[in-house]
Amino acid sequence: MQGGWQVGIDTGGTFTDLVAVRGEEQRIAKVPSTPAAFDQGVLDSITAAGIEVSEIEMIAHGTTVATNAVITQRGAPTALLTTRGFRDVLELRRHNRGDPYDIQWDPPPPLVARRNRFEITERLDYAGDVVTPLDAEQVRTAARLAARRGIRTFAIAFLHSYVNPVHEAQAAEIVAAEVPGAFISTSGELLREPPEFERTSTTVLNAYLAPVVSDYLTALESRLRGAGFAGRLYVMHSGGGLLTVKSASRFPARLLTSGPAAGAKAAEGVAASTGVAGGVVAAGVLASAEGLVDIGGTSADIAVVQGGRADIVHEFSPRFGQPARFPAIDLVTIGAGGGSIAWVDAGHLPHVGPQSAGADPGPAAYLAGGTDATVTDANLVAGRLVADVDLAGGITLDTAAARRAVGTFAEELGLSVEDAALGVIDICNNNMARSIRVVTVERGLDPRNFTLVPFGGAGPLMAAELADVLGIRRIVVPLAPGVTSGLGCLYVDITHDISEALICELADADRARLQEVFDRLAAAMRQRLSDDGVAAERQRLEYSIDLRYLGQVRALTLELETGAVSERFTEEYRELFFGEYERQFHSVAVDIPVEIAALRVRGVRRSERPHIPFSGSTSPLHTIERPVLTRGGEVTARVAERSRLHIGSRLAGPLVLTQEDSTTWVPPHWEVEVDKLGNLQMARSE
Amino acid sequence: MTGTPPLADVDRVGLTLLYKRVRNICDEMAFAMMRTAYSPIFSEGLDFSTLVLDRRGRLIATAGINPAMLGASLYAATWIIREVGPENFAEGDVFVHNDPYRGGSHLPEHMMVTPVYRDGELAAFVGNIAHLAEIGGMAPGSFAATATDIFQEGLRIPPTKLFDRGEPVRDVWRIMLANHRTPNNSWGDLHAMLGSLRVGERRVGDLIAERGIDGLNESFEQILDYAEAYMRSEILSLPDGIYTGEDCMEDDGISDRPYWIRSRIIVEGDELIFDYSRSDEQAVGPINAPYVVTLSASLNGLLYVLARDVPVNAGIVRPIKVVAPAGTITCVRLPGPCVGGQTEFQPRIMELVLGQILSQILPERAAAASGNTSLNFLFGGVDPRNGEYYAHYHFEGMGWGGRATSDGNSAQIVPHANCRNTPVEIFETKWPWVHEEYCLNDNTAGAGRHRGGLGVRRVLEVAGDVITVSALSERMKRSPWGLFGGREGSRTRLEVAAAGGEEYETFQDAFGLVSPSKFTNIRLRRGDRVRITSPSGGGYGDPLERDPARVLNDVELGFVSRGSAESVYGVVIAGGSATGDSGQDGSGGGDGAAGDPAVDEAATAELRRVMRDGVA
Amino acid sequence: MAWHELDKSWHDTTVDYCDVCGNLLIARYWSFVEPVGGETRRCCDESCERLFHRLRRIEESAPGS
Repeated sequence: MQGGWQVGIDTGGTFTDLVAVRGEEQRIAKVPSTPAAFDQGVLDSITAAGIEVSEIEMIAHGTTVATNAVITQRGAPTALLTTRGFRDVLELRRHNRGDPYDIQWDPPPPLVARRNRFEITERLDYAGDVVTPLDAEQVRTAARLAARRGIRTFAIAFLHSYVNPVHEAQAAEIVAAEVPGAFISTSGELLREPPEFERTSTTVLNAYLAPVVSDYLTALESRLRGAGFAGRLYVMHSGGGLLTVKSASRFPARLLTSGPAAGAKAAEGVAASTGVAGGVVAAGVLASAEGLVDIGGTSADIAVVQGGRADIVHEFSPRFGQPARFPAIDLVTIGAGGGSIAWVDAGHLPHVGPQSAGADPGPAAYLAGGTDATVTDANLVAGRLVADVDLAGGITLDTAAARRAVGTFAEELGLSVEDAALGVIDICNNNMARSIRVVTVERGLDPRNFTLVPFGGAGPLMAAELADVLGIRRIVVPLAPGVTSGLGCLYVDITHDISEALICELADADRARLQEVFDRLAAAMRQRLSDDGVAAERQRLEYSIDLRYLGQVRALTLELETGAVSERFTEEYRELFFGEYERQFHSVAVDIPVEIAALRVRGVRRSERPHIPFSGSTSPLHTIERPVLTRGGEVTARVAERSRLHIGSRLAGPLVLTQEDSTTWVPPHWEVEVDKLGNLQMARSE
Repeated sequence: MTGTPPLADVDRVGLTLLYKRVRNICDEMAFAMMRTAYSPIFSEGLDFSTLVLDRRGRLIATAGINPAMLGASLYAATWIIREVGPENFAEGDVFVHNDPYRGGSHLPEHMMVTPVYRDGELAAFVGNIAHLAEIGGMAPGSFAATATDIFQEGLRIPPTKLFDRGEPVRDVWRIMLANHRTPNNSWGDLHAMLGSLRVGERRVGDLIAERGIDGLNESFEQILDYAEAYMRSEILSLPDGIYTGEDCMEDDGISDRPYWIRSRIIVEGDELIFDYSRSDEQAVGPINAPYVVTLSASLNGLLYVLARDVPVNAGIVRPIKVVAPAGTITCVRLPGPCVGGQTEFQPRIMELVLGQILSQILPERAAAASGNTSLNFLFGGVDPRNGEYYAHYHFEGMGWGGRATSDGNSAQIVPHANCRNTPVEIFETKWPWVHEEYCLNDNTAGAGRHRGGLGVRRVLEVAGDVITVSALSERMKRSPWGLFGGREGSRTRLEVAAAGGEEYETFQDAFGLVSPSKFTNIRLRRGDRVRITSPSGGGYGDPLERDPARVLNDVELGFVSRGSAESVYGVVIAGGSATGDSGQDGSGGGDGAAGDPAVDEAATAELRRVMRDGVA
Repeated sequence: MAWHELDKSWHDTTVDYCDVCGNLLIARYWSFVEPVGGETRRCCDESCERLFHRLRRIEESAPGS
């Protein structure tokens, strides 16, 4: 398939974005998502891009399916098998609350109702030795009873299984035999670490999501194959890596922030290719195209990229008290974007969002039945969106409808339509700014040192005035901002992580035993990568070891250069540990013994970052003039098609740049330059 | 409530940025502590706080982890610095202190503080407070519930140099470690505290490099002013008046009598006084509060309903006075014992302030009583697996009280703290106990329109030859109260079954103790089992007003029995199994022939009418 | 009506309390003479003298509350 298309497709709650690259050719498309069956939107996007399915070599797919299922509590009915006496682990949580001063907080309801949590007589001790053998009959009874209740999905999480998963494996076998076709997730397979609550929660989330994700991916793949697709299909995981359909179906809890992670990866790409601000960039993923269907449409995701990489956290909780312990890109999500609805509260104060008109009916200007004023309507009234340009997905905008909707809102406040429109834009920007402060100021980072990378259809429209609120002086608008998450899908590698607990003092560790564990993990990892269709020569294994001072509870994970355990490993590992300990904690004690806690192997398939071709226009730039509302009064702005700009073109605001998937608003005090990659580099003029 | 008050001529954004950055330094210090800890009480329980203070020793920010340490955070470091004198500090000095008469909360909580210098000039301080699991005294775990003076509670350390210009003061270390039962553990945890200080020192050093010593301290002053102004505007929004309430500690472990806490809150304009001067004299046993504990509880009660976003620092105390005369249970006089003041007395006052007094002004933000005990269970012994001595201080989650708009949460830590539990897997790895059960305690929640949350039941078996256990708890004689017609929650239970036996009896009966909730040094042997049952929360509002569908749901989940549904809530449920239990035998309804359980609307309406009017 | 040094020997590890609020006295204290009875009070801060009078005033206007 030399020369086939590399396609990134991100399905959000509202729109499905596509970016495709083949040699010097590139295509983009943006179509409405199809929540009833998201796979339809994926196929629609391929059709809209004008690509032959049979010519696609690879699809990397970000999807909101998992997030949607958790938020709307529409995962599969799931049974949980626990050690006898511990069915409430899921509900006991860790006893703490997210904000110590919020006594009104409610924990999330457990995903497995209590009656479907089955206690099984079995027990291991802390060392993983069997104290009470598994009662197979009880497993059988529980499986049958669950099946009778219509349950086909099982999570199995026993105490101390992270040391020894033997009982979980036996129970899984019994359930599989008893309930043919059941999906079974065991905690030892997902996460070889304590403690029991986090491991159980991860396992339950995984099982709960499995049928939904698996059904979706199976349907998608089969429709693609039916349409002649002969390439490889990958799914984006929360940590910013790719999984095969098979792996994603087995580890669906890894997909919880699949789509937003793609946006963050694209931000990394933009940061790397433009080298902005010493490689430090705040990516405001202002995606009018992102969102959660049942919240009703539009949300924005915000990530921080520092040193070229998005921050990673080791746990993602859809809600506090519901952790999924897998690596995830650190994101903040806010209900703000093009579809956000403007409304007036009982005290006559105006608000924007978080309710959204979504894709259906969408903003009033879409003429699809929406009557609420949205951010998009306000921008149209303010003259920053241009009605006579077709948007992606064949949507056209109706200015009169937008004025009517904003007018209703204006009347409630006793404002003119114009002032109301500007007010909606201001409020939305301030909401966004507050969330950006959460990921910058709250972490002691000064947003004024960051570059804003706006994504999504509405991002570049709002970015400059949002930057003004935050004191940000530089903006980079990517080539195709409306489909950036689709682009991000093309920027990632296949990655897997496995580990095994091995607890012994480093000084007493047996080299052969360490080597044996590493070899076993490596073999398992190679198998996993091979299962993913990664050829042996493209497989790269990364080894690491968890070390701590004897007696400490937590360990540091240290990356090793090789999985070959040398004769001097004791000294080597000690030095690595001391070095990292000193770096993180500024203190080190050389006279306390060091203990090994676990060994880890990560498997990676390296892929090339795609080259996105850009040549710029050579024909002369045509502009028209039109009035645009600003806080400083009405100004006359030039309107141009972005695709007509030349590399190196420098233009001063006020300026409106249109393109198929987005519109960029350059206010009077900003100027813009087109770089050789096609990005718009915007800077505040003094 | 009013929003943020105006502060003239101040760069508000710059100030917010600086404050958040200092908060972030505290978070980083906390992270270092958690990651390098030896005791699960740090790494899992997060029973510590980290502090950044200005050059005069005033608290500027603290990591928002454990509200229980608020009082000590506000005063302990300040007082050390004042007692020693800022001029007597030198670069590289680290002071340690755990004296409850000098700003500490109780002996196990150790504070460390170190000055930050730039070019030889004092610029700021960083500090932390952490609960060491074992510090000697009459009972392993250092929670001597039968202590009658401070000397039985462990080693008391007034402000003392642990490092002198960067060099460890070995004599002090040796005295401390010689008096702790688990010196290796103390050594490790004290180093976790030191590492956390180093992180703070570096980060604050960066700030000083950027802003200069004077510039930074001027900004700190503005942050304090801002917090003060914020608190004043919140207090101003409360109606002026004198509001009163009282509650008690049920006994002090020494004699069977309650100790009463009587509180008045006086609101006058933008200032507020907490007056405890009418409270009982200090107790013989260790339930007394040092001044900072009473202060902490008072402020926390307030902060749970007011000023949600206020920067928690020395500025918030300026418009507030706490009157707790020495010699009362609210301000212990040396050498009165006080280890339980922090864990039992503090939540009692906090909920007295929040649930009984502020509920008179702000009923929609108040809550009924939670289980309101830390349920301290202490143990120590020699671990047969490695021959080493160990000790641990264990606390338990409980039910919280019902609220105006929702039920109380189940299995939450005592409200004045925000510690996490020690997971079973960590517990069994560290200490020779085996858990038989760890679950919600059904059918106990205080009934109400919004019921209380459920407590927790834990059953564990001794897996060492001998384990010495102690307890310091409350709510065994008096139940958590309901609010606005809500019913009481259930009480704490501490029970034991001898090896091989099935019958549980209370520790009090089994060992002939004065107090059921406070005892020390009971020796248990291999195979003995302990059953800890934590209290549930009180209800909020009349149970007869509870939505029958929610009662049905509780019955289906097994939280409320069918019997209680009828006798307490007046809800008649038809169909399903008779037990209403959610068990795995298939009796939970929906599987059997009886059909899904459902509310019998007509019977319920009639039953509720009879219960209300008392006429059949 | 003045600040005084709290003169304690270095080997005296006892503590002193504010007569009005119960707070700790450190290094120095504020003293004032009660108008009724003429007793001398030691307190942690000047503001405690005002607090003393305020509490007395409240007591007089609403006894027993």
